[in-house]
Amino acid sequence: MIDKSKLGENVKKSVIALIVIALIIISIFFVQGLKSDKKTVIQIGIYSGNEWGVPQIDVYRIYDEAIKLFEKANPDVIVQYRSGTLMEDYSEWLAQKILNGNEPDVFIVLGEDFDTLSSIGMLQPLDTYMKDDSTFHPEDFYKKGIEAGIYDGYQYAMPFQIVPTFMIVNETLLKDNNLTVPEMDWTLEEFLRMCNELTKDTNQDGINDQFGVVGYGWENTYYAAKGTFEAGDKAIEVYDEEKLRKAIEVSKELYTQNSGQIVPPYAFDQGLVGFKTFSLAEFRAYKPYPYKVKKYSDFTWEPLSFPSVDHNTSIGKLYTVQWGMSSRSKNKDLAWEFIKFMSNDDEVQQMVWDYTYTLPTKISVSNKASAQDELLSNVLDSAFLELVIDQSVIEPTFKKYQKLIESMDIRIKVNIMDDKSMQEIIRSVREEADNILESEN
Amino acid sequence: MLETTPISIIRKLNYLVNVVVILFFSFIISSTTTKIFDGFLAREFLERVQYLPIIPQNIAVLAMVYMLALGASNVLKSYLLKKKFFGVKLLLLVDFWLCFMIVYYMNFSYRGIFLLLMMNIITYAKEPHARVWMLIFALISFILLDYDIWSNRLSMLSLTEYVDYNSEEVKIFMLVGKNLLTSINEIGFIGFLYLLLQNKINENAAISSLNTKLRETASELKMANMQLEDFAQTMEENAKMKERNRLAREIHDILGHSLTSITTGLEACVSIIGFEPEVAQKQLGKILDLSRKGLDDVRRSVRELKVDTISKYELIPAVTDMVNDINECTPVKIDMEISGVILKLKEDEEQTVYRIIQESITNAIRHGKASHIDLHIDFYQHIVNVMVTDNGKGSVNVEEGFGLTHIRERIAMLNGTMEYETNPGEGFTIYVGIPIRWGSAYD
Repeated sequence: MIDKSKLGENVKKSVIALIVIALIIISIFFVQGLKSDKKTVIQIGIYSGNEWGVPQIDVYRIYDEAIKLFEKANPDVIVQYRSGTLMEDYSEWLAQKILNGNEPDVFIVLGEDFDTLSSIGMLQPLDTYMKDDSTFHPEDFYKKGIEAGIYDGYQYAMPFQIVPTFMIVNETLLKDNNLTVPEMDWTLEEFLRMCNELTKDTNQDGINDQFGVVGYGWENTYYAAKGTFEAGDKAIEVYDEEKLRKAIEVSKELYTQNSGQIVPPYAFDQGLVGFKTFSLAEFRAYKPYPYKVKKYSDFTWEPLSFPSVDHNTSIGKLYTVQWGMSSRSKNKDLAWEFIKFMSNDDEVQQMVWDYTYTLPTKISVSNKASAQDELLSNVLDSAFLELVIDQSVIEPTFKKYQKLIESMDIRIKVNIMDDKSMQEIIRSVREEADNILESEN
Repeated sequence: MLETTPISIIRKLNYLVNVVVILFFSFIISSTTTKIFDGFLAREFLERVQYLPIIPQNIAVLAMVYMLALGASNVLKSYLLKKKFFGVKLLLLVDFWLCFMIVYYMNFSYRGIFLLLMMNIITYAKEPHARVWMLIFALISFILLDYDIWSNRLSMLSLTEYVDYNSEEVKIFMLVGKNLLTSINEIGFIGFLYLLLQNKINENAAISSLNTKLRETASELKMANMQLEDFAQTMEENAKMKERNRLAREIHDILGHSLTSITTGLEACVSIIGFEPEVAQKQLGKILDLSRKGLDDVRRSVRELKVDTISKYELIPAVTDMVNDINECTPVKIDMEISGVILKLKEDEEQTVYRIIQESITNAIRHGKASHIDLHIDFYQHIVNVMVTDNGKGSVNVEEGFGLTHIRERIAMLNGTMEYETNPGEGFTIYVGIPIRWGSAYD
């Protein structure tokens, strides 16, 4: 039987052991506490380059200055980043960091990564931070910019820069061909008619040297027809085949107009193309600088919305640069502060305008800046920008979208070139889409 | 502390197997990760796997930490069990948690650790109720903690998904290693159960043989008990017999003596009453005294029988009284001589000596028809010697009657000696020597 005095002794011993363990834990916390008096380091992940293909000078300037401001506002924080990562390598670099568990606290999320990183739980949902932060108001930002950071109903990323796309029209060329410059609510029929009239062989050498449009693809028509891409396991669940048919029809007709000729990239710059798809970054990069402007000096041009299927709905693609937070970050509150600082701070947002060719994501800063820009304000007003952005379509947020859209694009182009029937093209695209959607990865 | 029974060795080996499994899994995961990095396949890997993988070095370190904690818990449990100290059950619950964490860090791709947990429960949970519940819980955990069941709900990546990233040869090596280790673990568990079963069978056999022995012993005991009862009955009868004999002796001694004296005295009276009526009358008076004394004796004896104690009286005065009575009441003449230093005797000794003298005189008068008796009492060196000699008929063959047997018995009780010599016409002499246990002179 248990010896009572021994039992008492054992209890005493275990109590002493517990106290010792508690003291050790407390001292560890204490040391940790002393440590935390030191500066907190926030790692951020950025890259050079962009998705809209306009070279940027002095990529890191905006980050350096923004970080300086942030560190000034938060004296206990040091923000660090690794420079030299190209956009092409960024996705792999970030993925390796993630697999190693040492990804930055805050990082820019590429459009192609956003779905994957959101769905695997790498990104921290920001909804509670947004809701609890009284200094943050979602309505201050372009609605589409905020929407671009939503996946599966949660806000996983905050916009930093946005780049809307639209069309530009060569007014000189249209006038020379007795065509009236279209209004903002022009339609696809008008667009196709004008393209048809513009496409011609002016020097009679048997080859077309004047074209209707450059850079316009089937997806532009699909979006214009209010087509969407939804997550799903089968092609018919993912896209609307009727709208795709319409999109392919348009592409086919444009291809026929060009007699299968591919419009050379320099043709618009030479004043030989009536319409061109265009991103704001391109617009800002080429318009203000003399040597770029010179290229367009023999003709005048105007921004224009995409042609719509019916009036009032012009839909273009919207590029965004988004900040995401690692769900494993040890300094989430500070990470949120940094994200908010980049998106919400007027000075930083002004830097977006000043140091990049993109648009600030905060409406007030964007409007003020564009109004103050002498050259830009002549051709591009804030009302146009807001209209274009509001009518933009954000890339769908399911995982296989990137792969799907690329494969569909190739399949459609190849089939049009092979002069396949609409029926055949639709079936071929559906097969390809089904394969991708059904595959494991 | 170190046990070396086959069962505990198997348990320890299984623990080691589990350590190896964890190291092997960690190796697979980290080497695959390195391979992924070298091939710039990290982004593709993230796309391919559906969840955020645990950091490779965390898997190795944390799983090993939990494994070591499990080992430490086992050592502590053995200690607590030995000291009969509480807390073993609590530690088993901690083990559950440790095992869950290890399974978690093994990406739910290895649940063999729960076999080790079951071994622990069987070894350490002594209370049947708790043991059964814990085993059921461990078994359910073993069944349910399968990657395929939870992969949709947990951010997890099965080991197979890692293995798939390697070349065919490495893949085979990894899968063979994984299956081999898992099998060894399972075989160890089965071996543990087998040994446990064997032990239980042996134990049961030992218990049943002990039971048989117990039954045999019980029946023997019953027999012995019965014999004891018989013996007790015999003893009781013996005691009754003894008491009856004592009563007989008592009656013989007292009544026999008095009645002999009275009879002899009355015979004398009858012969002289015709010619010497005065003498006869006087004689009769003495006989009356004698008979009264006899009555007193009877009363005293009855009283003694009742209380079983002897009233105090001294030997020499009593003997002198008796001799005087006989000399006065009967024609028989007794000469009494006492020599040596008279020692104080114990009560039973005094009684015996008195009875011997009384019996010898009675015998001499009744059987020897003696007219003269010599009584000699000699105290010599802690021995009292009594010699009674008469001039009676004597006898060739002494038939030891009740009286003589009685004397012999009493003497034997006191470790004394008795001799007698007699011849026809030459009287009867009896010698009795009794050692005095506690002799001291009268104060």
